[in-house]
Amino acid sequence: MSKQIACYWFTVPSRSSPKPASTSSTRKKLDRSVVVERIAALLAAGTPDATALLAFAEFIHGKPFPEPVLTLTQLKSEVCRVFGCKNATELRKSNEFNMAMAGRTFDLKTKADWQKLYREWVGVPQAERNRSGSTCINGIDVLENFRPWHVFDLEPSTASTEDIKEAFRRLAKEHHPDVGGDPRVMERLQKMRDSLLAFR
Amino acid sequence: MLGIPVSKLYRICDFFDADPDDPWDLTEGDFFEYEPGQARKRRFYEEGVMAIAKYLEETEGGGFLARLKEFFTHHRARVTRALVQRRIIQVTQDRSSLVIRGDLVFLQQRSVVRVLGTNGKGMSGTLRRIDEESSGLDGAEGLEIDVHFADFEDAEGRHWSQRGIARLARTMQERGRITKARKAWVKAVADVAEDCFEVQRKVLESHEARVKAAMTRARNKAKHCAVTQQKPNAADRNPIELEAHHLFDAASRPDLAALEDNLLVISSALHRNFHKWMGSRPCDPKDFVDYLLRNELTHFEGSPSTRARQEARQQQLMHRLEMLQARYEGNRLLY
Repeated sequence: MSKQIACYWFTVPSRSSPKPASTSSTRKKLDRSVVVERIAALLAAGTPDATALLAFAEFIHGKPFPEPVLTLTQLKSEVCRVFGCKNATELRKSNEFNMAMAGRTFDLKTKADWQKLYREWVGVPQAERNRSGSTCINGIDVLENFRPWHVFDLEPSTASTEDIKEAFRRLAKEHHPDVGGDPRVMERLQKMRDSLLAFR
Repeated sequence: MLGIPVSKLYRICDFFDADPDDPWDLTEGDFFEYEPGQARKRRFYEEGVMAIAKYLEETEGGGFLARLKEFFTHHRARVTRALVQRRIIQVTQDRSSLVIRGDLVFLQQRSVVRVLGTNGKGMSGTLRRIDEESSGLDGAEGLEIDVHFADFEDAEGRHWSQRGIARLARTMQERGRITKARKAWVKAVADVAEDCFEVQRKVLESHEARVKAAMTRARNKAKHCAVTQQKPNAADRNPIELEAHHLFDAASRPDLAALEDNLLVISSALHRNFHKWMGSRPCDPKDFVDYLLRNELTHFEGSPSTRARQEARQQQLMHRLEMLQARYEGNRLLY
C-alpha cells in the first residue's frame, strides 16, 4: 500500500486564463502515486525551468500562489527612484515631481495614492496583471491603467491608423453600453483611440 | 558667471572640440556662436553655459573644496537654474502660446521644443521612445489626450501640459540619445518649469480682470460718446448708455485688450450698429474709420457756427484712430 502524503490537491486554474476568485476549488486528497507520476513527467520533459518548478509547487499547494502584493515601502521606493529621489520627503520637494503632478492633489499618505503613482510611472504591479472582470481588457483594469497599445493588442512600431481603428471597433463591439458594456470603459477606450491617432 | 578664468574656459572648449565621439560636445549654432570677424571669440548661449557647468561639476565637483564651496554658496546650481528660467520666460512671454484648461497650463509645441532645447527630429524620437516604453506592462504609462497634450480648435498647433512636458523630459533624460550637457539642460527644465508656468498662469488669469477694469476706467473718464457727443442723462426717458469699444478686437489682439488707448467710449446703439456692420470679423481701428465715413459722418456736421469745431473733432478722432492702427498693426505687445 502506498504511503499517503499529508497534503491535498485542488483544481488549479491556469495562469494564462485566470478565473474569477469566486470559482470554488474541489479539494481532493493527494496520494504518493500521483505525485510520483507528476515528478516523472516533470523530469521526462528535461531539466525543469523556474516556470515548471513553480507549476509543480502550485500542484502540491493545490492552488496558484497569489502574486506578491507590493508593500507601501516598495511602492514608495520605486516611485522615488524614477524621480531620482532618496525618499518621500525629497520627492515631495522635487520640482520635477510637482510638475508631473500638475492639476492633481496627492497627499501621498495613503497606499492608494502610491499605487496610482506606481501604475503611472513604474508599471502595472505584478499582482494586478492577468485580471478579469467587466473593466479589464487584456488582463489589466483600463480604469486604473492607461496603456492603449497593450489594451488594443498592437505594436507601436508596426500598427497603422487602420489597425488602431480596427482594434477599437473590435473592443467597442464587446464593451459598448448598448451591448451591456460599462460606459466608463467605453469612454476610456475612446480616449485611448484618440490618444494613439493623434500621433499617426 | 561660472567663476572660472578665461584661460580655463579656452582649455575646456579645446577639450570639448577635441573628440567628436565623446559625450561632451559644443556645437556651433546650438551651444555658441563666434563673434563676427573673430574666430576665437565665442558667445555662449544658455545651453553652452549649462554644458560647461555640467562638465565642471563632473570633473571638479568631486573635489572636497569645490563641494564645500558649492554646498555653502549653491553658486553653480543657481546660475544654471537662472539660465533655464530665462529661456522659459522668453518663450512664455508670448502668452498666445499658452492655453489654460482646467488646472493645467498648455504650451504650444513649437515653444516646448525650444524650452527643451531639442528639434522636430528629437521630439519624434522622444515620442517613439514613449510609445515603446508604454507598449508593455513595465515602465511609465502612455500619453493621454487632454492630459499630457491637446489639440485646441481655437489655438494653432499641438499643445503640451506641464504633465506632458514632465513626461517628455523624463524620457529624454532616461532614454534619449543626447549628450550629457543636453541631459543636464532637460533636467534643469524639469526643475524650474513649474514655477515659471505658475507665474504665467497668474498673469493670464488676471488678464480678464485687468481688461474689465480698463473698460470701467475708460467709461468713467468719458463724459460723452466720442462720435455722437450724447451724454447719459438720468432724466431722459431712455437714457443713452456708454460702452467701451475695443478698436483692435479684444479676442484677436489680447495684448491690447487692457490698453486704454485701444478703448473708445461710444454709445451702446452706435457700438451695436458698428458690430452689426462688421459681422463676425475681428475689427481694427481702420474698420471703425471706414464705418464712420460711410455711416456716421452726420454727427460731425452742424450749424455754420459750430462746423469748424465739429470738423476739428472729426480730424482729431480720425488722427487718433489712424495713429493707433499704424502703431500696433502687426506689432504684438508682450502682455
